[in-house]
Amino acid sequence: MEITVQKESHYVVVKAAGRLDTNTAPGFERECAACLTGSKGKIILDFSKLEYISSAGLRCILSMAKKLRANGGDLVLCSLSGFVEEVIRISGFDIFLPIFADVASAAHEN
Amino acid sequence: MIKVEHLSKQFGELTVLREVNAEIKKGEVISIIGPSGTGKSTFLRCLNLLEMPSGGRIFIDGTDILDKSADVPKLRQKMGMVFQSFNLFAHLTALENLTIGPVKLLGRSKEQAGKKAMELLKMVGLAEKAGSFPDELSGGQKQRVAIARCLAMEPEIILFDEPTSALDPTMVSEVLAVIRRLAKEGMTMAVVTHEMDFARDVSNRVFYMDEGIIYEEGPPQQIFENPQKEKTRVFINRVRSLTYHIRNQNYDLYAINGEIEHFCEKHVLPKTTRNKALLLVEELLAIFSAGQVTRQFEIDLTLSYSEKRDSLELVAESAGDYFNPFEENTLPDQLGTTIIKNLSENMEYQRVSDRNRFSMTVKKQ
Amino acid sequence: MKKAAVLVFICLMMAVIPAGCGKSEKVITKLEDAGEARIGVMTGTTGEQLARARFPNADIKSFDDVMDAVAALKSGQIEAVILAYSNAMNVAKHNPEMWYLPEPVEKEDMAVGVRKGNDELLAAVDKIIAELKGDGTLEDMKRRWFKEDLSPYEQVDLAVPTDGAILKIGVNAAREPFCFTDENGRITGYDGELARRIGIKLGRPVEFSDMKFLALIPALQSGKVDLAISMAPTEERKKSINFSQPVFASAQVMLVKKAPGAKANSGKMASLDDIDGKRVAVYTGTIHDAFVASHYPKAEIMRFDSTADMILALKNRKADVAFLDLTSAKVMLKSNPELGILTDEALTRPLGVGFNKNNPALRERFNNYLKTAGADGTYDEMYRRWFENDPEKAEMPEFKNPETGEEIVLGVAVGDLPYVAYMNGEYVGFDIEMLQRFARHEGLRLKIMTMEFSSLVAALASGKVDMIADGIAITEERQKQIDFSAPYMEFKTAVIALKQNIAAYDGKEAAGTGTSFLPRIAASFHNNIILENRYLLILDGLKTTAVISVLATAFGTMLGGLVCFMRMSRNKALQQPAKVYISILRGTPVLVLLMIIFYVVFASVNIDPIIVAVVAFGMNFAAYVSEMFRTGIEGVDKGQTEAGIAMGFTKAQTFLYIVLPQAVRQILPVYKGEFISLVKMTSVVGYIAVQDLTKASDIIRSRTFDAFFPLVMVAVLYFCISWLLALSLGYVERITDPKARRRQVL
Repeated sequence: MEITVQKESHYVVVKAAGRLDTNTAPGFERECAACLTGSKGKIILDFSKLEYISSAGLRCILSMAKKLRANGGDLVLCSLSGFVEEVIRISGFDIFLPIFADVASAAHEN
Repeated sequence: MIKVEHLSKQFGELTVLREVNAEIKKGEVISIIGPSGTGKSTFLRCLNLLEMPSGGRIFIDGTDILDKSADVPKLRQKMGMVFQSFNLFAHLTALENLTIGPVKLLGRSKEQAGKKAMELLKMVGLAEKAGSFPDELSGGQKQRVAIARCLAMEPEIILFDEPTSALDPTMVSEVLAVIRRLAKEGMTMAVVTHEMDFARDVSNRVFYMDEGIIYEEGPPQQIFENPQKEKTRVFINRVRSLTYHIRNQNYDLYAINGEIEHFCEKHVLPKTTRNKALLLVEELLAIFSAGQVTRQFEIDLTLSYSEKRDSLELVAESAGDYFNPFEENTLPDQLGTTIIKNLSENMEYQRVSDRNRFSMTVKKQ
Repeated sequence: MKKAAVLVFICLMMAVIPAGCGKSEKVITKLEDAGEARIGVMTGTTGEQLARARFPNADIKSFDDVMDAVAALKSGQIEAVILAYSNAMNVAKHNPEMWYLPEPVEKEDMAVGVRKGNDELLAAVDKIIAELKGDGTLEDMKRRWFKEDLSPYEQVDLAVPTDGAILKIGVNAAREPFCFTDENGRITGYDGELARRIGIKLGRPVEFSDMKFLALIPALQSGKVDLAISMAPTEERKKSINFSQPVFASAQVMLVKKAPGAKANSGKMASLDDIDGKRVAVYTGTIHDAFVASHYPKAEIMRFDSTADMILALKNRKADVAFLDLTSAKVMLKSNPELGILTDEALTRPLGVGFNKNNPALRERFNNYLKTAGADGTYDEMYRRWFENDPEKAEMPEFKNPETGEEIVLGVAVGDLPYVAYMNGEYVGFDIEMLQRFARHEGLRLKIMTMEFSSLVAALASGKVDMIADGIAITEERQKQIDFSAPYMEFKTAVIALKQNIAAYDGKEAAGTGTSFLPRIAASFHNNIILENRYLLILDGLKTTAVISVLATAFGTMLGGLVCFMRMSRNKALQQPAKVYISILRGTPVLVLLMIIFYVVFASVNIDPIIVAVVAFGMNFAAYVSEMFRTGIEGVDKGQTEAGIAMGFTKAQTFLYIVLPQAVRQILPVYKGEFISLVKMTSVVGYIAVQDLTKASDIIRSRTFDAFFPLVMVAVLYFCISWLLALSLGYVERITDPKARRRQVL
């Protein structure tokens, strides 16, 4: 799994490429925690290059979202494709987390 | 047409064929399957005396070919053979490969042979390669020319010795297509193959060879769907499905993934089906890991694919106490079970001889 | 095609030019002459420094040891050597063709080298040297070691101590008489004696380390040796080591080769005994060979198969003297003015015609004829024609061989006038005329066969020829194997050498050959090819070579196929003999095989030697061909055979239509190479009396003594044959390439 972080003024774009599964989820969470230096952190998860996601990945996203919201921040998803989109849908996460078509539209919102 | 009695073959100390008795009637297509090293190819090669049997008799149209007075070369002219490594004559063009036999052995004129050869090449789809040399052809093309070369001799039976084993998966189908057509046209054939689906589709009878004999033989429905004997059953299952045994909690997910991906590739399954299978297995295993607090962590996974029904079945059996995560709410969250429920169909739980058995099919859409 | 022609032309030119340039050695008579010469020096010596300083434009070549430099001077690679004067004196003693210029390059002292810091030892050595000088020991040593003549050195017994700290002495024991090893391997010479004396005075045993001169200083510095004896102290060296006071005064001189006609002393030969220790050229198998070996054991004997080769060796200074028959010598000398006769009283023997021991009748007939010829004046007439007048201008009387009558075969070696020679396409000479007259007298048909002189006796003994003649001397050794006729001539030996080496010719120098390049080439060409229709000889030879090559190849290929079949058979009875055949034939040189077949297998059979050549070369070729075939056949994939069998071809048909075409394609390149090798190998058939291309050049050379044109011409012809063969086989390769075929069809 490859993670690239792009810090902007009001938000951070975290691009994840590859698989987010039982093996890679812990590492992903660590990477993201590292770039959340307090305050009103908003993270945009760019999943354009994500091929696969399982419940382990979903759990870790959930926990990150909860932590951010507790501090006044937020976590949003964007650029979902094919299989990943289907999994997120059937797990009901689309209700819980905002989903955008791309980074631009995700950043535009407040 | 071919009758084999008490055929045996030893290579030094090693007995490959013990006691083989078989009959191949005109117009039949016989597939010969079985584990490696059980003498399938040896049996085939004994039929045209490429291998000399150690014992037994072989009759071709009533003639005992092992008799000293038999004109073996002449008999061979009536039997064609297609090899795993093609064996096209390297110094001749494709056309010449087809004409050399008829001209030199059957006494045809060059024009006659040439005309027939072009027709045959057209039939296998390689008319424009008539002037090419074997080293200029791909594997699939070479094998098709090899088949055409056999046909040029107007044989009564064609023996195929693992015709697609040396081919790239992408070229296998073009060759199988030709063989299928020949079967449809009524050519008598004996095919040693590992392509189970092909064997099931095309044969009249299947020989399962094991232990140096024809262990079981019968129509494809019997051998593939309802094998009578134990070993046959084991073989069929092994070939048709993927089994993975997990013995402790430190299982290697990626190794399991590799096997699943390979299995899907073998059966040419679409990417989405593959991803679903992977996810189902991951979630199932995660649930088992979370739920099982008892001593043994023992799970047997089986993935099988049915071409007829075009469905992929997943069976997971776990040892230990009664455990059905879909009933109980003993799990921290329902994410995993939700995913499983949504990606699969016909999910069933059974408690069978002290084991928890889950079976389901991967949803198609 | 054009590129190839240009390339051939360039190669020919490159071969021609060096031959055109005459050999010119610079002769140095005074130091100034060495300004731009090639000078040899020893690495690390003062001589080396001096040479560079004094002769900045010269080409300085450094050698590790004196004898290497001297060898280079001897062979003409350098023109001078700079070295210490007593070394030079010693070298000149042993090599009379060299001497050292009286004017020294530089005077210098010799001293003992000591490591810096070892002042105690230095002081001790200085004291010893002073003592030895004072009591006259050093003078005495100088007298005993630096002698002008070759008499043995006067050794003095010195009792060197055996206990005590060993004094390690570094020396360069390659500089006689300073320091060298005697026949027992003991270090001796001036330095050796000095070292021992120092040891005695210091009460210490002495151990020598022999090394190259340039290693002495490093050895001192590292402590491997305590003293280095001896070297010249220079400012440069004093930076690294200390020197004792001078031991004796020496100088660096220049050693050069003497000029022709130089008035320097010994080196010229005056009598037969002077050939001892020299390089003596003799004709293989002649009585000269045995004579020199038994009378002058120190002479280095060089054996040649033709007089022309001996003369060439003399002219190129590869031999010092040559032994030949007197009359032949006189003929040689006419066309080689730089050669002269040392003596003509070496050996006198009667000559006879050789006959097989089993054929006394023929011998009797000849002896009777000889008497008749003597009586009726025919003998005198022949003698006058060939021995008293100029044999080159002699005209052979016409003889026609009768149509019928018993045939007798005469074996000759085409040596030289006046006995047997080949001119204008026919055999001429005293012996030839004599035997032709004999044949006509007896009504016999005379057939002449040529071969090497050394093969004549063997040929006669084995019955291949009936008589042999070519100025053959009657000796006891030969009489054991064959019978001789009554002597018909007396044979005198002349010993010849370059005039400049013969004392008697002092002052009478030969005229220089100063003609320029192109006219010389043209003259050479005319002489070798046009004159006496010599080109016909070459063409005949060419034809013979071609015939033998082609027939041997055909025979060899077929035989090779048979042997291959046997070798690859599973039947041991066929396989074993084939294996044995292959290893024997591949392990025997073709020439040996050729001679065995000719002289042993077909001993008494009257068989055309060309057939023998075809058989021998064919058998040899077959051994290689069979292995080639086997490799080619085994290289064809087994699957091809299986497919053929499965299709219904018999084993033979499968081999013929499927395996063989593929195998042949594989081996064609190697076959090409072996064929061309065979063509070149046929150049040895001269040994069994076949006149092929190489023999043709031998014959021409025996008349003209020219090495260049005949040899180069023949080499070019062999090259042309090989090239043409390569082209034609290449053509065969192309037309058998199935892919080439296809390009034509579609």
